[in-house]
Amino acid sequence: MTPEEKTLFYRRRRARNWAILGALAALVVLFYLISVARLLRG
Amino acid sequence: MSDSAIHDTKGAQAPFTLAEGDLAGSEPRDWIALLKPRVLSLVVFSGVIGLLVAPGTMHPILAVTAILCITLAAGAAGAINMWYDRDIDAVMRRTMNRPVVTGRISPDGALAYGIVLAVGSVALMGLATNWLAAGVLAFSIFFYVVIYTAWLKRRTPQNIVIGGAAGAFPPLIGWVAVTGSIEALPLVLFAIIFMWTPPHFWALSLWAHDDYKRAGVPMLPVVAGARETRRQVVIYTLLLVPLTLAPWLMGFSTWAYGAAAALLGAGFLRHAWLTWTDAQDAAGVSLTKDAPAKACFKYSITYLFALLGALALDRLLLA
Repeated sequence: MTPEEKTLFYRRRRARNWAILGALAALVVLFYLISVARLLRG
Repeated sequence: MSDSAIHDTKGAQAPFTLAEGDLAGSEPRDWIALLKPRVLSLVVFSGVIGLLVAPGTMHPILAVTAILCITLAAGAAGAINMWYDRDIDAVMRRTMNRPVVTGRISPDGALAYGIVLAVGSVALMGLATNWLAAGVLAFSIFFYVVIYTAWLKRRTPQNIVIGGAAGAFPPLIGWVAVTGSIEALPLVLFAIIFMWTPPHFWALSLWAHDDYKRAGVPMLPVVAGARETRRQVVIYTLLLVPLTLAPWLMGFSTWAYGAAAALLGAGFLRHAWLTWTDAQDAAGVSLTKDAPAKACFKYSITYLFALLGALALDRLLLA
């Protein structure tokens, strides 16, 4: 594996990890908001 | 790839080995591409229409969640479709750059991603709205993956006719998410999208059928020829246009929607007619590079957006 390929690999892995973090955070916020909305609805 | 072990220099420890195809790795956009984002615009729009035309109110957060679930479920079905169809996708120009075909995402990865999204979207729909909506959502995924992709697509030229039902579910799901019940109007919306799909897709397949022929998919132009396909476009458009008047005739909308549906339908019929009467040789091959069919395809997209939009506006402002 060349240094360029290694750099590319790490860059893409980092991008995937950030995307997963973002998706999980969004899911947490969404569950919180759904809970509040359902509580308000009674 | 035994010579491609990467040693993590930032503290981790054991070297690991990359599988073939993982060398460059996938990017987030590859995972988004698995969801077929271009198809999702109509799914989102028709789902929103279902929510808007349904009687009753819904908390905005729950409405957004319902649309998100419909979108994710459609995307999940698309991802599983890409996993299943990776062999034919590889030989079709239109699909040969899909991430599973190019190896940026492994087939197992695509399948797991699709299943997780499918289960997650159905569960979230049930928790946020109601379980009837979740059940219909689950059935729509099943229909697209099993009935259309795995069963019909490679077996019959009627694949689009029956499989088109898969794309007709979003307004029904949107309605059920609000009301918790299945009634006449969402079934009419389902029927409209169901009848719209064949002329829409066959207009496309008239100029894209080489791809399907190469892949061995029995689309109508491949099996029955271009001339018969043009005839079927006209027949299905003739069936569709009266059906679009049903919401007005059944009292679900005012005359304003009826007039809009009639005008839009007249335009669709004109495009279908021009497609049928396109200059063609003895074998039915277009002498105009299928220009009328391309125009018909483009119009069909505008048509459905405008038709559903007109119904929603009518219900919200006038009915």
